[in-house]
Amino acid sequence: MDFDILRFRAEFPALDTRSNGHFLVYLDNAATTQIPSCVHESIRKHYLYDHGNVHRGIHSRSEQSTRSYENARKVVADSLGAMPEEIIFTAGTTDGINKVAISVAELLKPGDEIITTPVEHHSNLVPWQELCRRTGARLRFIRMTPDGELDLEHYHTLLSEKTKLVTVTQCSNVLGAVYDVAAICAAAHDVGALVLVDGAQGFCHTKVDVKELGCDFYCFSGHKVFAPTGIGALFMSGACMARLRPPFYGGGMVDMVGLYQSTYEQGVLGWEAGTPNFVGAIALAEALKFRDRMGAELLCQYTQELTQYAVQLLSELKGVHLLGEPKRRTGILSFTVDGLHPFDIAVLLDQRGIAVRSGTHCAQPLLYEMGLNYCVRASIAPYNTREELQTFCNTLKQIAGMLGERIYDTGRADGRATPRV
Amino acid sequence: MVELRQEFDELEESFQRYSLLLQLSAYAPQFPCDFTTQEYLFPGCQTRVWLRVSWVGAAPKIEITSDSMLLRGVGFILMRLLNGLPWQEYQNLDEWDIPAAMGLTGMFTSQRQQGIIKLLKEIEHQIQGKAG
Repeated sequence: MDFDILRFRAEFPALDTRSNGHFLVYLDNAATTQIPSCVHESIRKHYLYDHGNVHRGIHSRSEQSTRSYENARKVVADSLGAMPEEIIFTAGTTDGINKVAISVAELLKPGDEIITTPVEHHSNLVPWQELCRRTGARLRFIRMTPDGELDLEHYHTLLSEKTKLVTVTQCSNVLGAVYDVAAICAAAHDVGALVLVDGAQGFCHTKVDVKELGCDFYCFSGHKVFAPTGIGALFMSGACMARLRPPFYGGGMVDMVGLYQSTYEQGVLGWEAGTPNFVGAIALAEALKFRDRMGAELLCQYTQELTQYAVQLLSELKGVHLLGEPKRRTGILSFTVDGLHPFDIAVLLDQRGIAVRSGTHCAQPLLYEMGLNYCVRASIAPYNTREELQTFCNTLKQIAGMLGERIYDTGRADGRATPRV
Repeated sequence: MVELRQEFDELEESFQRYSLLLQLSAYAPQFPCDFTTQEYLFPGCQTRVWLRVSWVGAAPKIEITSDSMLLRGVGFILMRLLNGLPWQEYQNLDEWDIPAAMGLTGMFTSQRQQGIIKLLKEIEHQIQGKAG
């Protein structure tokens, strides 16, 4: 593979810093990725030299901002295989999902069904629970196999004329499993249901073409793909945009406003009430262009190879149990260690400069289904290296040994203990 | 307590402090034990902590354990600090900078330190409630 990892890493100053006295090994990329210098520079440059509010303004700075913002929409559209008029900027995946959940409410009536899965992030579950509470619709769940795959045969038995929406993640934020979303979309459309795909983890690890997937809505967050927090995008098919009413109202999205009624902008502007996070959108576009310059598919391929290597390393550690065994896993490895609390592991890894995440990962139903309260999650980005993964696994082994062995000097009556380090 | 604080302070590398905390966890009630039940569960986010407050004569007796070894170590330090104190002194707990007094400043995230402070408030609340 022709991938210059050192050149790629050099774009991320954070990776050349120390954490608790050790070189940072950043393996919390599923929570947020680091930001490359070019993205930081695009924000700095905009605020210092080009800043003015978008749309409506007639002065040059406003025009410059508007042009950059609409160019950003085109960059995002290109990255999804969509048209700019199908891209709504959001604050992130959660925001995108909630916008859809609010807007589809008027399509639902009591007895209608929404199909989802037990592997979803809370962000792609709780908004639908609330929607069902408000409308009288009912949630149905596609069964998960012990490997962490979705049981598509079961899915087909759930589909009926009652199904109005199917909402599914492209990639589990706990298992790293990549699901066959295209098949899910096709089957949903056969019964006339709309499909939302949560791309929070899928967009950063797979090449996405929303037309090939066949979804009606696709959401992702910028901060998981080298952009800042607080910016993301929602793809909405033109047919849905014409059919649904916007979730929020106010400045920027109106056409004519009277005291008692108003008319609204057509298309995406009607879905972006208030001043949008246009600087975030500009930075997101810069991040996506950066990814393209580096070779988006090459980065996905490299991450895939790293993931397989990490699976191999972790599988060799005694007492370490990887969650799930999906056919296709990318970027995310969650695990438990016999007898040890994930919190203790994560705290001690951090003391060695290794950033991982512990807890429920906003996927409590999935963990409960797997019989767990918490787990540790290591998540990979294309700037990680095999050496970093070796450091991570070696340190994990040391910590597991330290926590697992009985090193206590329990004979001392005063409770003082002599550290053994 | 002063000795324990000194022992933490003498350790230059933070990893050694955690190692000490792990060793101290052996002196706390081990998990699971007779009070790791829903009744004594102290609500938390990533870890579970159980707190049992009872009376031995005129003094409160505090027992703390957790499914996390590190937090069992913290629990042990709290028990060392608090057990044997006359209950009236618990009323001054708010004024104490407990994490600093315990030598734990910087060892836990601000969220975790808030959790320790919440636990202290719960101890104070339970003792005052039981003292009438």
